[in-house]
Amino acid sequence: MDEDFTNTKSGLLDYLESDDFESDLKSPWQQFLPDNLIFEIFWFLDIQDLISASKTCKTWWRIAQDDFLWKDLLCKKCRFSKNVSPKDNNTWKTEYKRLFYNSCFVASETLTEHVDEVYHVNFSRSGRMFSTVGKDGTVKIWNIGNPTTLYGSLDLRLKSDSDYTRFSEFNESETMIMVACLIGTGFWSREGLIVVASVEPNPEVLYAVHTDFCNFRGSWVNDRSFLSATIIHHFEDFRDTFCLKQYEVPLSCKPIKFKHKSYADILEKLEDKGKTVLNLNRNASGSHDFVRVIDCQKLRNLASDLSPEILCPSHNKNIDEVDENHTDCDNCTKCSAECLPNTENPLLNKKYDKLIIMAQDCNELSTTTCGDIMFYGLPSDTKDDDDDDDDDDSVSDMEDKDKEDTDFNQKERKKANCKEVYKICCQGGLIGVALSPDQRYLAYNYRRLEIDDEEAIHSYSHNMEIKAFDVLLGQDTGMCYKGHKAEYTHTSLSYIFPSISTDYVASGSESADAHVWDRYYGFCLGLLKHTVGLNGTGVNSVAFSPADQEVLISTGDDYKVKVWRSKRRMKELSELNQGLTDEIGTCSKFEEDPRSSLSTETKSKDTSTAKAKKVKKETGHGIGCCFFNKKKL
Amino acid sequence: MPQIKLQSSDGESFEIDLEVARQSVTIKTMLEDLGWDESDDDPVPLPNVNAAILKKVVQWATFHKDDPPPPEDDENKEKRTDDICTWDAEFLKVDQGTLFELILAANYLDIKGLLDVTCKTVANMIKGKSPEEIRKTFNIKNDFTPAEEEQMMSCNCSATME
Repeated sequence: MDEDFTNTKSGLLDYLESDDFESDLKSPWQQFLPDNLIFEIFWFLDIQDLISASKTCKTWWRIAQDDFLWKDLLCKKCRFSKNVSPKDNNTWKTEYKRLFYNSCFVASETLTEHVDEVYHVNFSRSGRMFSTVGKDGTVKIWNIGNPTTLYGSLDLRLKSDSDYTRFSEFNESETMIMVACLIGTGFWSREGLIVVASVEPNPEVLYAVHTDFCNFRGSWVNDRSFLSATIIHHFEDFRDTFCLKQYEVPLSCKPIKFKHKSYADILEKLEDKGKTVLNLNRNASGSHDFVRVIDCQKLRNLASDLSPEILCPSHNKNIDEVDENHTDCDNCTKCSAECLPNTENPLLNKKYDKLIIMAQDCNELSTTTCGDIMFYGLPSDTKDDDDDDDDDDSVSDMEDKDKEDTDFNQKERKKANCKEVYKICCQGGLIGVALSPDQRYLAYNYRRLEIDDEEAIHSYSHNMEIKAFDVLLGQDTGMCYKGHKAEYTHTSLSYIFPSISTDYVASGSESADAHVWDRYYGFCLGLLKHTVGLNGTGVNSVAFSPADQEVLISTGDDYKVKVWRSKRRMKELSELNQGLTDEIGTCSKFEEDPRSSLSTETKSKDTSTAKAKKVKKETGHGIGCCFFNKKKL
Repeated sequence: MPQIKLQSSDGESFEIDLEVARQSVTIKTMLEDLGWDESDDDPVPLPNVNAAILKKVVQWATFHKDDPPPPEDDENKEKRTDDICTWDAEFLKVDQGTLFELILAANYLDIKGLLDVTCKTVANMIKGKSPEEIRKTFNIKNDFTPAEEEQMMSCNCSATME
């Protein structure tokens, strides 16, 4: 039959119309269409239809595996350029799956414990807990889980209701949490406080220091020490110095009764025992808002673990065109990346124990300032002396005893043996920085300066941008993540904290949504929606779980903390919950109907009882797990 | 208007406008290679296309002779299948055998526009159908062994990529 057919190809019509065709084993579509033509047909199919077609027969299956089809599907969908290469030499099919299945974040839980705008979210190192802070002046510690529950909450307002908390960070062992607070000290004046509290169901304040920079967020530098900042006034030449200090939380510290104290009372308790880490001449228009600390040993370990990644500059098609007008910045990322030999990354220098990343911001619009991110190397306390010339003074030797000393300056400067290692200039106003959990990538959110014809700055762009710096390679990744908008004003900045993981980048915006991008391709994978708050539309902060980058938390001006999970995680959860429901269904005793308990929880509008869990499930699969959680966890 | 003769596999001759014929890259190249000129009266043989199909192809090419040439770079072309013009849709209301032969002919004659529109038509026949429905539509025999089918389900992302 087949022979007959191929011999007289022109007689195909007759053959197709004959009864033989009906009874023949295989259809000509399956058997006689050349591969390239099946490919041509498949080329017009969407993903779902391509998958269906591939399941019909072996031939079609084989052709549907052609990676060109998948590349095409992906490039069309994401508007990638033609010469982009797949990440980690994956097949395009793998990448398709990663981008559109693993990376599709859906709303999983909404936590409504905060009674005002939520400014910041941060995960603990292990990813088991996360903390949120905000305008209601509290820090809340959560256990992420199924469902996510409130572990502890601490009110850090003093007397004023306008006091608020703006940043928090767990220490490495997750026993303490550092919180940056803004405390009203007078009718208009506000002061910064950095508070350390215990991580327990009823957290207590263990330590607190005043900071002269009310926007300064602080950071842990090791498990018991954190960084804060003060101003040193030099009266002889009317100069100010920015001074970064390291404070150690004593092992035996009594909890400070915080609530209903006046600021003066608290100040009395502050033990200013910090040692100076870094002194900087203070730029009048600039402020230092963010500090991050990288453990150099971990970074070096990471460097030796990873096979050298081959960077393909051609794939970065959305790399920013450098603004031609912007010539006053000699140290822009592009230039400095080019100046540095890739083989010698100064950030991996063995001399340093920690890298301190300081983000300098400009509060006022001007032509000359834009946000700088400085990397300082902090040598280890016990120095193994090598070739270095001027940092021989050990930090630990120098205790600040005599603040009025005339050669104080010199001493201070000597003590601060941090060295500037690297500088990133971000061509705009910085609004947030974040390190990836492995500390390899530094993402920074900024708004470009828009320059008018007379070269006088007139505004910050309404378009935010995120750039990612690869600390391991000591150079910009060349990627720019865009699409999130600033809505409020173009003359000042409000903070929007991004988050970066191995595969993704995320950031909030001022338009009631957060964006998630693929880190490698820069493609926006989706928008995570918040609602419009009473006084704002900001989604102020996002954070990927260090334990699982398919879990993301976002916080917004709608007072909400939202937990987002990938489709894959949602499916796993729903399967787990399904299993649990079945299991529970076989038990004879019910204390309460899980359904009714859920509905009362969801309907409850009561926000006054701090301990009541109001976890609103948005999935419909969560019924069993709520119940499970009450019973067993 | 110069004319050219085309001869189908079953010996039938078609006399058509040169401009119509030149939509086929295969014919165009053939004529250039042969140094064809207007005085030539020999028919161009097309051994892979029968008269019935050639007639359809000529009909299509005649209607589309004033179309702009298809863009060279189709990398950025939209992958749409709902943009088939009404004339083409009517023209392609044919049985599957004819459609199949038209695809082969469009490929052989290298007429991009016709190949695209026929492939789109077939793609539309696949769209929105389950594998079983697609098999039924095209009379495809499921030649997977049960083991292969199982393996396909486990390695295929389709199960997870809904």
